[in-house]
Amino acid sequence: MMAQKRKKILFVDDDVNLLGVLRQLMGHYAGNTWEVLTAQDVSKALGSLQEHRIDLLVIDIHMPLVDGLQFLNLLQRKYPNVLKVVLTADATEEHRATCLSSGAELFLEKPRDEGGWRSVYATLHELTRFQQEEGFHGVLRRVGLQDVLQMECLARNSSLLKISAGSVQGSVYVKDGQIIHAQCGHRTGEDAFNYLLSLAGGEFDVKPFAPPPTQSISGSWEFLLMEAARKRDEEGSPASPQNDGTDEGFPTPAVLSSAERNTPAIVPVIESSGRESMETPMSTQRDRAPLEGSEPRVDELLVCSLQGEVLHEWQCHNTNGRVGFLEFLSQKARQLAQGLPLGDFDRLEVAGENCRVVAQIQSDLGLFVRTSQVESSSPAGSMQP
Amino acid sequence: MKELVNQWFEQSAPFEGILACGVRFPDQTCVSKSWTDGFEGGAVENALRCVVDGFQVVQLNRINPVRLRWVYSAALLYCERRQDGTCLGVFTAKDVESVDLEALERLFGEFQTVARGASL
Repeated sequence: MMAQKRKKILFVDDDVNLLGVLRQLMGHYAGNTWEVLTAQDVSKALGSLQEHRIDLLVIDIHMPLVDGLQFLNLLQRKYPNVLKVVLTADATEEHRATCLSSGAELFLEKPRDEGGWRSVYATLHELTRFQQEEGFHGVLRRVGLQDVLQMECLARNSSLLKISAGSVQGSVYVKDGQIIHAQCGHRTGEDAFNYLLSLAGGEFDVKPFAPPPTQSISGSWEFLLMEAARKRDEEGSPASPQNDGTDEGFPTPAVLSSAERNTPAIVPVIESSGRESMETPMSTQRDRAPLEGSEPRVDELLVCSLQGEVLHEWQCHNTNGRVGFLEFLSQKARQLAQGLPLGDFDRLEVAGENCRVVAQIQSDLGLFVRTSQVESSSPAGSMQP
Repeated sequence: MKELVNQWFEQSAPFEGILACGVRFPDQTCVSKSWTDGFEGGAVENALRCVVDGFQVVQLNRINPVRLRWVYSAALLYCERRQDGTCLGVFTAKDVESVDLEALERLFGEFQTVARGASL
């Protein structure tokens, strides 16, 4: 029988006794399939995250200095793809909703007996079975390439960062915490490095280290990152992939005119033909009747990059909340599809009591549109909330 | 309540275009049925767990959801939640022309009314 790779599960809780119990119990239930790690506080947990490739983090809410909710938000920015579960004795609905919207996969109550712990183990075990495939494939909200490079260097890692933005493809090689080579099209060395770090957005994968074709960079990583930041500031707006001459690229705030920023330029019609529109069959029998004789009105619209950068918004009173929602959706949609032949995620449609929402995730953009129904006699295109 | 919903779910008949469906109860247990290869019980139940999270987060955004539809390139997932927190998720073919939408509505209608008022 082939030996399976042991999953690394990290429990973070300020209760030392509980951590001891968890090591015993979870180790007992999991046999040789889990390596149970524990941390008493957030700083020790971060140390473990740098040292190990953690498959699942189980976090308590109430901890001194940095609590579980703050830690979740930090993890969401720094380690968006690590599975996170909250395990707490304070299982209120408010905490549950906050934790789930901050990136926790599950919100569990600490059990009071051994049977309960066995259920917790079974739930966590089930979750790790659906863990994502290898590689970094995350939402880059508020986490720049610079942050990731800094983390890789600080941890003295060896890795290969594959960067893509539109049709721009580049690589940065990090060996033992030093940046040794960068490549992007015809550019190499510091020129390529600075160009990649000036991109407005895109995606990256952190891959296992592979030897570069040549070693084009020898300076310290601190100096390189500072120089790249200085150059970016001097040159003003971030580089758009269009600048390279061959790319289709994607919109950045600089691309949108001020007029576009202030008007609802995008109409929430996602598909123009066929019955698969938001009206049918999302309109249930129950909610269709009151809407007869009415027409949709756009109440709110937001477009953001997957870095969480708002590219266009109109009448959006809770920008951060909506960006957070799109981020949640981007992750949850992928998680939902695990093990199922659903294909690529396109959008979530919500039929609400008084409104409809379409939240769409594309490769580099998120779109949130909220509409409501107004009486046909109302002035068409009324923009009142 | 759970027993009655379970019973209803067991007896519910498949319709044209349905791929799989499942119910997740407030006590985090699930039941599921599949009529298509690839929709295994564990994966459907995992999806339902995500659906429950989806309802929570939509609500956190001050939107009171009646129905969610997750649109993927190869299939659709329709979901509704009862007032007691029980969720029904129905996977259908992507091409809604091939789905018996009346039967889908009937299924959700029954789901909302079965054992209404009964306690867990």
